[in-house]
Formats: sequence, structure tokens, C-alpha cells
Amino acid sequence: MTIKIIGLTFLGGVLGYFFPNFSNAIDPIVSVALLLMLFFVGLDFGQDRTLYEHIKKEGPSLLIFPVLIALGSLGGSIIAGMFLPITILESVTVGSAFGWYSLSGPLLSKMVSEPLGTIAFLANLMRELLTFLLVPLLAKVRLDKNGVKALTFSPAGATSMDVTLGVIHKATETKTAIAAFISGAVLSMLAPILLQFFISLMI
Amino acid sequence: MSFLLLCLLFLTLGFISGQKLKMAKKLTRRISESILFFILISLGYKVGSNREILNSLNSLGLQALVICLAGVLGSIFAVWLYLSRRKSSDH
Repeated sequence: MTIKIIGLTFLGGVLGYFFPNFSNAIDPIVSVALLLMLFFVGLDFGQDRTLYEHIKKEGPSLLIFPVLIALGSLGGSIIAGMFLPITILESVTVGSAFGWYSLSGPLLSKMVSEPLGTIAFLANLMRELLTFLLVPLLAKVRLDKNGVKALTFSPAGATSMDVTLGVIHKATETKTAIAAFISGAVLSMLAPILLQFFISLMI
Repeated sequence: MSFLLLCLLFLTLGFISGQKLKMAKKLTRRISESILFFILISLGYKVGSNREILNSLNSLGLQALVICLAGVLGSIFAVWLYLSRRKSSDH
């Protein structure tokens, strides 16, 4: 599956490089495709009769995962900042977008500086692309036999509620896909708040 | 932010439809998988067609890559630590 993902993304890249004429049309097309995909993932959720009971029972305990993912990302980007030319505060700001490049890139370009916006855009875009590669591999790790395979969506950050939900759904099972969606939704709400907070410390 | 609400809306719409109508699980997975593949090609296309991204890859890209890897590894590590500790406390 990882091969397929690399192959298709690479194919898209080559097509884009040689035929860049449609680049303006691609954003709305991807948005529509995403919403369609979410509809079908929801359809799959809806057919699982035991799901409601499952969420009622385990829902609150699933909230630990976005918290851990957030702390891990912030900690990681603080450590990265120690070794980079940019400041630790700048590095942790980039990390606090949790993969949401379309938000953090333009926001930091406008509010802080063009280079930092570019780094934020690239780092978070890379996070999303890397997630596609890691999910099938992490799905094979058996840590918790009956539980949610939370390792699979930990690289996804905020993207596990939309863009990378499909690949998580495909590599695991409905239970994990639900947890991934919840995690992505929480991180998507957290990312703008943290970004605003860190930016306010900078300017 | 409004796009997030749209995402939630479509997922809920799908959820409600899923409870009302019976559709083969295989078929729904097939369709969402096809859309996923289409999205992958589109994401690749977006990067490949954007000369600005390609040009900034060497200069700022390395710093971006380091932050990306650090964040991803940090998140995986935090979740792994939690899951493996929970597993050992179960026994």
C-alpha cells in the first residue's frame, strides 16, 4: 500500500511539473473530493450498529490521544528548534500547526515573516505526505490487541479528520478511524488557538 | 474553520445515510478508496505544479523537514509510551 501511495503521489507530482495549467482548479477539486470521501467514510461508520455503544463507552477516553499527539509534536519541535538557525519559539510555532499547512503557511507569512511562513507550509505539507507513508507501516505494529490503533494516526495530527482519514480508514478498522477523526477534530481546533498564542509572543 | 464544519457535516450526512440504507461494506470502502487515490494524485500535482514550492525546497526545506520529522517522531513517541505503559499495567 505504501508503494501505491508513493507511486500515485509521485505520478501527480510529475503530471503537475509538466502540465501545471490546472493548478488553480486543483484546490476546489480536492475540497469536493475530500467532502465526498468523508461522506463515504461516514456511510461506513453509520452501518456499524455497535458503533454508537462503542463511542458512548469509550468516547471520553479517546480524547487522551490528541492531547498526547499535541504534546509530542510541541516537544519534538522544541528540541528541533535547539539545532536550527530559527529560534525555538519559531520552531514550536511551526510544529503547533499539527500538519495544517494551508492555515499555518499563509498565517505566518502574513503575521511574522515570509521565510517562516514558507517553513511552516513545507513542514506541515511534509507531515501530511509523510503520514500517508507511515500509516500502513504503523498499522502493522501490534501494541494493544483490542484497543484503538492510535499509533497509526499519531503522525497525522490535525489531518486525520479529513485528508489522511481515508488512508487510516483503509489501513485499520472502523473503531480506529473514529478515534482518528475525533483526534484530528480536536487538533484542528487546537492548532489555530496555539498558532495565535505563539504568534502573539513573537510580535 | 468553516471547512472543518463542512467536513463534520458531510461525515454526519454519511453517518445518517448509512443507518438508513444498507449498502455493501465492500462497495463503500471501494468508493472511498478510489477517492483517496484521486486525492493523492491531486496532492502530488499541487506540489509538482508549484514552482515556488519546488524552488524553496533546498533553502528552507531542510529546516522544514527537521521540524516535520521532530513533530512526527514526538507524537509517535508520546502515543507509544502511553500505549505500552497501559499494556503493561493491564497484566
